[in-house]
Amino acid sequence: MALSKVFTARYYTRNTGFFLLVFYFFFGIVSGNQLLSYHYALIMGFLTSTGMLLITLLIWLLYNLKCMAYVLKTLSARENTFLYATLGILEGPRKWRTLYWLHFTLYAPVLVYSMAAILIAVKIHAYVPAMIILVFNIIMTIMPMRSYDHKIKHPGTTPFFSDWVQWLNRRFRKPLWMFYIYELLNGNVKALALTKFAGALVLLMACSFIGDQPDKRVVLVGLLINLLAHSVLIFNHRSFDDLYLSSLPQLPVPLWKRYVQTGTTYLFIMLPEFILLLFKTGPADLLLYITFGISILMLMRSLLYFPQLDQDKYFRWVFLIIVTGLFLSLAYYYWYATVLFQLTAFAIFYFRYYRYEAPLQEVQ
Amino acid sequence: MQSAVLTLKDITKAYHETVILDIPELQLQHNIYWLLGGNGAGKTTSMKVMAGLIPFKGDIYLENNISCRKQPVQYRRFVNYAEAEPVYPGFLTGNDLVSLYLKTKGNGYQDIKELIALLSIHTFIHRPVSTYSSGMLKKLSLLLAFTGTPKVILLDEPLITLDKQTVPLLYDIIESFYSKHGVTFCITSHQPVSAVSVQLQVQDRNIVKI
Repeated sequence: MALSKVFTARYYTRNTGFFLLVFYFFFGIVSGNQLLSYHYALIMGFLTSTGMLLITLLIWLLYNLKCMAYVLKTLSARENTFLYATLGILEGPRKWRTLYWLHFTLYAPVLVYSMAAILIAVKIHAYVPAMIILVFNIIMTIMPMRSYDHKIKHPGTTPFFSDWVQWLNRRFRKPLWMFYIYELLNGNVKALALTKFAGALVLLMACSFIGDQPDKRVVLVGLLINLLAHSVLIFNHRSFDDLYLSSLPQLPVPLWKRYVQTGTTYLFIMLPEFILLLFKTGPADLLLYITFGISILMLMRSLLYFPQLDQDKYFRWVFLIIVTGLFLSLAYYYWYATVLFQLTAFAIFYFRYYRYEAPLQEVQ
Repeated sequence: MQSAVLTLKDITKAYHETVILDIPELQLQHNIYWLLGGNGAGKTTSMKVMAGLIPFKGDIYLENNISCRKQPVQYRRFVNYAEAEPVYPGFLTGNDLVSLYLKTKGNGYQDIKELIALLSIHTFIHRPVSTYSSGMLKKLSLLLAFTGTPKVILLDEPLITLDKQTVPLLYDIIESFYSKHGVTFCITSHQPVSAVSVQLQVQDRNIVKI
């Protein structure tokens, strides 16, 4: 009972939003009388196509990894230390049964759906996909057992890729411009994923409006909205610097180098968008998109060196920058806009960097 | 009389109109200083001002010719600082930080590998700092303060969270840097610091020698 509360109940409570979305996709987008035929078509889709089956298995694998990560994270939580003295002393079949049940309850939604798929596969004599789904799910439920057992036997360790990470840490030293990218990937991955997802949608929509005569202004409008989505990440960049890198100004690094390092960070953050634009619009105007995008992000970051620029004021300025960029782009002044934004960003950075002081509430 | 290594001139530091520091003039000659003062007296603020980490009014000169305000890069090359409670991004390893400091501050008076071994940092240097205890984090921040070829090292509460074995080692390193390499130290600590020869006190927002 206690284990169900610690693991299962909390898992479904914490992931309510995720399950609501999945529930809507499966049961909300078609009317009640078409529900069975809708699901039958979905299942037939991956039973009769190898490609679709592989995609389905990949999605199930990702969900399984999500369940595993949740269990391992829960085992690592300080308030769950008691689990090592309880789960940790189970032995033999009882231990494996408990661990299996624990994972089974989290992975159950996939199992329910795959059982239905297997029944349909048997009915239509598609025995190979049925066997693949059965074996796949047996592996998915058994595979995490060893990780859980290892974690319980070795509290405080991180079995996932730990050796590989250790090996990488010995050989690769993170350069300064990668710090914030690491932070986004480690501690702020949801914000990053959301920004990238929304941003990519906007860019794809903008690119879909391009006709036979490509108009770069349309792409720039899409890019501006994409940059607006990134303004939250830029705001968080300041908080990250204030909290964890407050001693960085103490390093003897020339201002231009610091500026270039920040620009490199943003170039890499925007890399997926630039690659997308390369594929959608070709290389001809890529330089414009890159310089235009980076100059606006740099200006957003430089603004944050002004004292007492809270979230509210910051976003007002961001809107002003985006609107200015929009008008200049529509008037074909995109290169002037790029130079104007970049020069303003550097001037603010140059005069404000050493004068900036983190708000007290950020550093205390 | 010895020439000043660090000269603070007309320093004012205020938070929201509350003046924390008001130092008309202070000259620090080559020595080891112990900066005293009660809680909230402004010791850490003084250290951060001297490190050029936070903005202030006035100026600080290194050996009377390098201005903190006008030559910030050169100033930072010769003034190192270790925070009282260091915080670093959890995903960075000790090695990442040492590498960054060596790259920007340059190789030190003493081989960094020797210092790493002396402070027993080699056992955890490749691990992310999120796995460090407060003592390990403190050792790492002290190590970083000894990188490069500084003329002044500012150590804010260097003894807190350090184990008993490391404290005498730290004194030895301070003594060695002071006598062999001519480094001036300014140390804040609530515990008596044995390596110290001159005491400073934050009094009525000013720093005075006692």
